[in-house]
Amino acid sequence: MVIYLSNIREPHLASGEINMFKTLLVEDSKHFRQLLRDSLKERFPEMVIDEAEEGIEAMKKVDSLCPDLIFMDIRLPGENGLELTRRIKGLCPDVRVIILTSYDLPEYRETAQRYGANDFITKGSTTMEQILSMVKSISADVGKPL
Amino acid sequence: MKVKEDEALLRTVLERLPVGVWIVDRQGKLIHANPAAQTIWTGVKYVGIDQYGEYKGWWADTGMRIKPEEWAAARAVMKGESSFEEEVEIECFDGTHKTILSSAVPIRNDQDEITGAVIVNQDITERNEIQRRIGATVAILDLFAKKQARKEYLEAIVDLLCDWSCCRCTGIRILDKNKNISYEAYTGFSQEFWESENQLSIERDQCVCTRVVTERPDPQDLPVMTPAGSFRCNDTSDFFAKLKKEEKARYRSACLRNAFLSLAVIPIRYRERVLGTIHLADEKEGLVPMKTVDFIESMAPLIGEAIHRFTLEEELKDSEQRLRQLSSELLLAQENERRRIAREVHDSLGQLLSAIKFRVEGILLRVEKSGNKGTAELFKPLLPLIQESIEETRRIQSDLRPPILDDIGILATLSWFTREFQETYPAIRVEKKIGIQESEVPPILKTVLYRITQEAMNNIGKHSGATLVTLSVQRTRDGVELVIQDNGRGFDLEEELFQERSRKGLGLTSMRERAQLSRGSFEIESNRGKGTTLRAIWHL
Repeated sequence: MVIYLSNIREPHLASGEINMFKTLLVEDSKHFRQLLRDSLKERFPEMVIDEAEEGIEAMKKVDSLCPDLIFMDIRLPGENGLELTRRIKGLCPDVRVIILTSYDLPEYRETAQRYGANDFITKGSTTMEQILSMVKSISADVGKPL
Repeated sequence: MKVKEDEALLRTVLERLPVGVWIVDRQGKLIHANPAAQTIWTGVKYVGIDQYGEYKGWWADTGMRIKPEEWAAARAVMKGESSFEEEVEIECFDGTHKTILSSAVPIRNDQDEITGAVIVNQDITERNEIQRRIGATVAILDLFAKKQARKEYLEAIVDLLCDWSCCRCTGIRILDKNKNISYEAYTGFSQEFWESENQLSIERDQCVCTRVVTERPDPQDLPVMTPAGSFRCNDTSDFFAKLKKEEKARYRSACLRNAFLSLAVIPIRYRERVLGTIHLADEKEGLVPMKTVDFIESMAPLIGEAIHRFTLEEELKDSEQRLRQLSSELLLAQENERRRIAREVHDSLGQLLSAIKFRVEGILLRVEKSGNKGTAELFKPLLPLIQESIEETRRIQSDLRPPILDDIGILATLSWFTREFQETYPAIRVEKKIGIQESEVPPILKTVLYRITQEAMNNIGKHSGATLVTLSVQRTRDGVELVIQDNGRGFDLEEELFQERSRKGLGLTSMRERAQLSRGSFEIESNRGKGTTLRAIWHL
């Protein structure tokens, strides 16, 4: 499947949202998506948040939303989050990808880094506060401070 | 007086000698034949050289008829020639055939004139027949040892039978599960004959071949049936002509239409069961004499034994193949099931616990911010419990099937596994030698490589007492090689394999099974006190 990414075409967004910080949650667990969405929305009400449960949907959302940040789970139905990160970063190198996983193993970290992920955090040992400060700092980096 | 005594003694000796002795006079006329000579020839004719033709004989080596002047007696008196043990096929006066050894010496007087000759005949028919049977037995056994499959064996047997019987057409029918008796091997029969006669059913069809297999000859068959149950007819045209119309209907007549005047159908038995038949046929009449059929009947049990053994072997191979298939499917099913449960554990329990952890953290933060520190302190001990549950879920998942194997690959899995191993068994140093790229390992081998390594290393950790393990995965010229070597106490392989049968072993059988089911070879070397080396090789 060939997906053409464009930074100009953002048809579903309201004009005011164009410069807003946009986050895509790629996660197959409904509970976890809900948790992340709730936490982000609560702290950053102006943030545009979209979700994808698996790779194909994620690629479509990357194309249409052009997110600034992606939270990426590794275990997904079909293509895994590491492979997906490699594809996304190949097409869209500027997007920040944070791998958010349960597996805290050096092999996962090395692979994530090799495939272009910007950060690697584990669900077991990271608090939501840490995640939220990470998001805040990234938003400042990309010039869309939250 | 002395002469008379000598003569009487000579006569007694001649009468009692077990070999045939002939005496001829100076003209070559037969003047004496001892009883053994008369027994060999079933009679005697006291004739001169010009009538030697009444004695029918053929040179065994060339098959040429012996002319009167060629008989040893004639050569002895005419040329003074001695002959020694010349092999001759003879036709006795009663029409039977025998093989004899013939020797002759001329008798000379004081003036060195030939006054006659003595000829000695030794009947070697039985000896030859025994030798022939031994030779045939050896040939049949030799083929059995050399041939790998039943069909190949029977094709070679058909050639032998053709040779022994001198019949142009020879075939072997084998009774199958569907009660058909098709030719498993044949020679000489035309394509047309084969097409019409190959698929005979012992239930639907009636002819000589089917009745020999069912051992239920018709009354009209009986005159040409041998005591061993063979049909033997040296002139089918004559046999058939004498049958009544309704009797003729009990034959398919294909042999007759093909002008096979000589026809024999000999049962091949294993113990009491008929497995098939030997079919001999030739256009010439008289090619299936009792001697030939009797000989083949005596060889048929050997062929039956071989057929039985080949059939058993083939059934065993089939059953082994099915077992292997089943084993392979079971392993695959087990692996898939492990993968499914591991995923389920991660997706439901693992994710839920992570979500709970974040929620509890969030709540605690809020409670703390609201100044209710006492309540926060009450709930804080929950967090390590939740974290432990997450960790436990991850462990269960990895034990079932490490997710890293599917997420990253075998090389990362081996790296993770050896690290974990090292943590569990700190006294054992692990040296890892990887000479292969992830992309060079076929996906189907990844699970096998991991499972064999897991089994072998766990054995080493638990039982070997080793201090060093070398784990090597290399790309070879045409495949992949896995070697796991330790310097532990080793074990007695035979003893271990015995233990395996009682399911107490080290899982050598299961490692071997995994390797072989993925078309690899598996070998293990171990000696007490000298460590163990396990090697699995796949040629791709």
